[in-house]
This record gives sequence, structure tokens and C-alpha cells, in this order.
Amino acid sequence: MDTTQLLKGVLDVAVLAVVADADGYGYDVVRRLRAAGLDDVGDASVYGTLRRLYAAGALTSYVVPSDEGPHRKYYGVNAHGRALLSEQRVTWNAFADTMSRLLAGRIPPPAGTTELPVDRAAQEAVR
Amino acid sequence: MSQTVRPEVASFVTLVRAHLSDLTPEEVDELTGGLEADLDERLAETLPGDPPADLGDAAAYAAELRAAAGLPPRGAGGGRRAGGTGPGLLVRTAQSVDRRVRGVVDPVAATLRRQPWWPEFRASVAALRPVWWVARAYVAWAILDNAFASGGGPLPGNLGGLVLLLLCVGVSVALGRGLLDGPLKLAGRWPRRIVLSLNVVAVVALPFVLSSIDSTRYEYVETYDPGLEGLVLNGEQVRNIYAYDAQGNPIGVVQLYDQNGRPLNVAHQPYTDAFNQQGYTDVNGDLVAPFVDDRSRNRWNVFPLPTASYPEPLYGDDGNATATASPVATLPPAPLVAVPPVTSVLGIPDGSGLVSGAPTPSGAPSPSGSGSQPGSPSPSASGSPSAAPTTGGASAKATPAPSTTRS
Repeated sequence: MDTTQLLKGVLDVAVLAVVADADGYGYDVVRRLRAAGLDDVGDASVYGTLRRLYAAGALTSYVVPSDEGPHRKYYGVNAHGRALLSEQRVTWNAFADTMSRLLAGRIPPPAGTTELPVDRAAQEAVR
Repeated sequence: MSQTVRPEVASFVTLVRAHLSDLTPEEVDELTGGLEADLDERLAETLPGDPPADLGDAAAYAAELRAAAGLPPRGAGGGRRAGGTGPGLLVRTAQSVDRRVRGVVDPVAATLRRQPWWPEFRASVAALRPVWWVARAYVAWAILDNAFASGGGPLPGNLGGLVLLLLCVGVSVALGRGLLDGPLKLAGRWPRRIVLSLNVVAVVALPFVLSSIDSTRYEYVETYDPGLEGLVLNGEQVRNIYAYDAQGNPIGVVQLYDQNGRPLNVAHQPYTDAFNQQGYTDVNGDLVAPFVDDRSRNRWNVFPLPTASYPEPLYGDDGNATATASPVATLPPAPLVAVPPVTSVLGIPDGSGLVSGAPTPSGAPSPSGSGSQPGSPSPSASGSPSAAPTTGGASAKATPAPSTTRS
């Protein structure tokens, strides 16, 4: 499965989590995301997400001068960002649980119907 | 952000900004702030053994950036958020063309980028960028040189041209390395397009400039070719003249003048001078001597020119010439013993009447040429029969026209 499609939906919360862990500048955030296992994350996507979260008021920003190179723009989370993060964390956990159950084959029957033992048995046999 | 970054990073960021130029300046700053530092660090992470880091396509990068930032893609409805009425017809047409071209080019480019040799190839091409900087500087110089200095050679011909060429190279390299982006505010929309247009012009002009280097330049050089002085017939020097009468028999010695009374000299001044110094004139192997008139002038228009022969000098025992015999002049034999007699004038049967008569002595004074014979009837060309069909109407019996009719 193309993980870049999956990443699009969760990049916000991933970036929030990384920055909440410690302040960081653009490429630093990219590096930490990749170190965490999101190898396919595009740096432009991360930078754009940082800017959008900043514009949404979830991040703070400050510039750190550098002697040998250009200035670095650091980002950190503020109270709004932390609230957003915990909110999205709950959303993600619920979503991930659902997907895990779905993909594991533990599909609950629609409300009001009775379970079909034959299907159940067939699925056990397949497993 | 004015500190040193890699030139490719600076130019890449400039390109990315150009692709975001439909956004407000604040949005562009917000999106690309700190981008130089990030990209520079990304490139710095490349280990010596790794394939060269590739920043990729600036347009795609900009698109990813703005998509992740939640901004509308370029060219989307209301694209010009900075206010105003949306893109004009020209811009929309350009964007449409741009989309069509991208529809063809982008899949090819994507396929190329997936090739294992692509990073190496791209790096090699990128390494040749300075060559292009110099080439476009040369094109610029050649155009300026042609426009203002009336077009010199392939290289500057003077100090000013050299300075101009070096200036062009300097500006081009500085542009290429992104050093002028700040001072010239090239991050904007139109300046970038102007630079792009100039690049296109340079690409188009380059073949012409290069081909003009190779083309031979022709110059007119005045040369003095003594071989074509005097009388020339079909490109060959006339060295002697033999006259025949109407019946086709050799005449002997004649003096010849042209229509203006100028002597029809076969030899020319260098030969004459040589004769005066040495006593002989050697015209292509013939030893000839001119007649001399009663005023002691050499006459190179009296024919046939006598052939001069010079006996072998006598040598003494010591090898030095002891005596020289006088040269002997003879009239050279005519090349043709006789020629066919003439009977009539072209197109005029009665013209045969002209055949019999020797040139009628003209009553008019001859032209005052220095070569005219004093005291004798002028035999100049003006006395020749003017019975040609083009003159004197239809009458073939026209008498020779007097030379007074000439101007």
C-alpha cells in the first residue's frame, strides 16, 4: 500500500507529536519523523504542514541565528497545539483500533442481525 | 538568510519562490522562511560515498509545499489571492499551455527520475552548468558586439570588447549562482520571467553565434596584378599584333590607337622601365624592342613589335665578358601567312564598297593624345568606317564619320 497516501491524513498529528517532544526546525523535524520510521515523508510536506499548523495557531515560531549558515526557523507547540495533539491522539487511537480490528477479520455484525455460524466457522478455518 | 548556502540551494529556493509567486508575499515568506537552511542541511548530510543529493523539481516541490500548507494549487480558482480580478487572458493561456506541456513532459520526467542512473546523470549535467553560464555570456557579448561595435570577429578585437566579454561572463555566473537574486529582487514573478526569457533567447541565438565563428570572413584586398595591364584578350596578355589588309595580306608596320586616341600599348610601364634600364624587354620569354618615334619616345603601339636578339657575349680567359655585340632587331614573322579576304558588311550587301578603300584620311584634327603622329594623317581609330548597322541609319554607303562627331 502506498504509505504516502496514508501519511497525508496523519502528517499533522505526526508533526505535532514530534514538535511537542522537543522544539525543532524544518529539517530536524523531517529527520526525527524518518528516524521514527516514516521513511517516505517528503520534506516539503513537512515544511508545509509546519507552516499550516503555525498559521492555525497550534505552533510558536522563533528564528535562531547561525554563525556559519542561514538562520534557522524553530517551531514549538503552544497550549492550543497541545490540546490539538491530545484530541487527535484520541481520534487516531480510535481509528487505528477500528482499522486493526477490521483488518484482523474481527468484523462485528450489524446491529439487529444474528451471527451466521457457518461464516464464522469458515473464517476460522481459513485462519 | 543572507549567509552562505550552496549555490544550488539558493537557486532552487529562488525557483520554488517563483512557483509560489501567485501567493501573497507574506504567504511566500511564511512558506519558504528557513528553507535555505533546511535544504542546505539536507545536502550536507550526503556522505562522500553516496550518490549526489538531488533537490528534485522545484515546481513539484512548491506544489507539495503549498498542498501541505493547505493553500490552493497554482492556477486553481481565485489563484491570485493577493487581491484583484484573477489572471488575465494571457496568463490563463500561458497556464493552459503550461499544463498541456506538463502533461507530456512530467510523465517522461518521472520515468527518468526513477532510473538508477538518473542521480548520477543529473549531477553530471548540473556540473556542466558553468559551461552554460559562460556560453550565454558569450552569446550576450556577441549580440552586444554586433549591435554596437559593428560586429568584430569571434573574439574581442580590442580592450573594450574584452572588458565587455568579461563583464558578461561575470554577470552570467553571478546570476547562475544566485548571487544577484537578492540585489536584483529576482524572487519576484516578473524578474524571474525576464531572466528566463533571456535564457531562451540565448539558447536560440547560440547556434547562430557559434556558426558565425566558423564562417569565413571575406575581405576585399586591392591587389596589383601586372599580368592584366595593357591589352588583354580573353584573359591572356596580348604581346604582339599583326595587321592584315582587306584582301587578307600582312600589312607590315601599323600604328594603333583606340577610340579616344590612346595608343594601344601591349606592354606596360614596368616593362618599359625594364627596357630603359637593360635595353631589352622580356615579355614572357620574347625579347622585344619597341619602335622609337622622332621624339625619342618608346612606341609600344606600333606593330608588330620587333623581336630583339642579343648575341652571346664573348668571354675572355678569366671568364669575364670581353666584348658585347650590338643587339639585332627583326620584324617577327606573322603567325598567319594570310587570312581570308573580307567582302561585305554584316547584313548590308552594298557594304562591299567599303572593303576596297583604305582608311580615308580624316580632315578633322586628331585627338590630342600624346601618341598621335604629328605631321601625318591621323590613322586613329576614329577614322575607321562607321558603317556598322547600328549607326548612320540604313545607308551602307555612309562615308567614314569624321571624328569631330565624337565628344
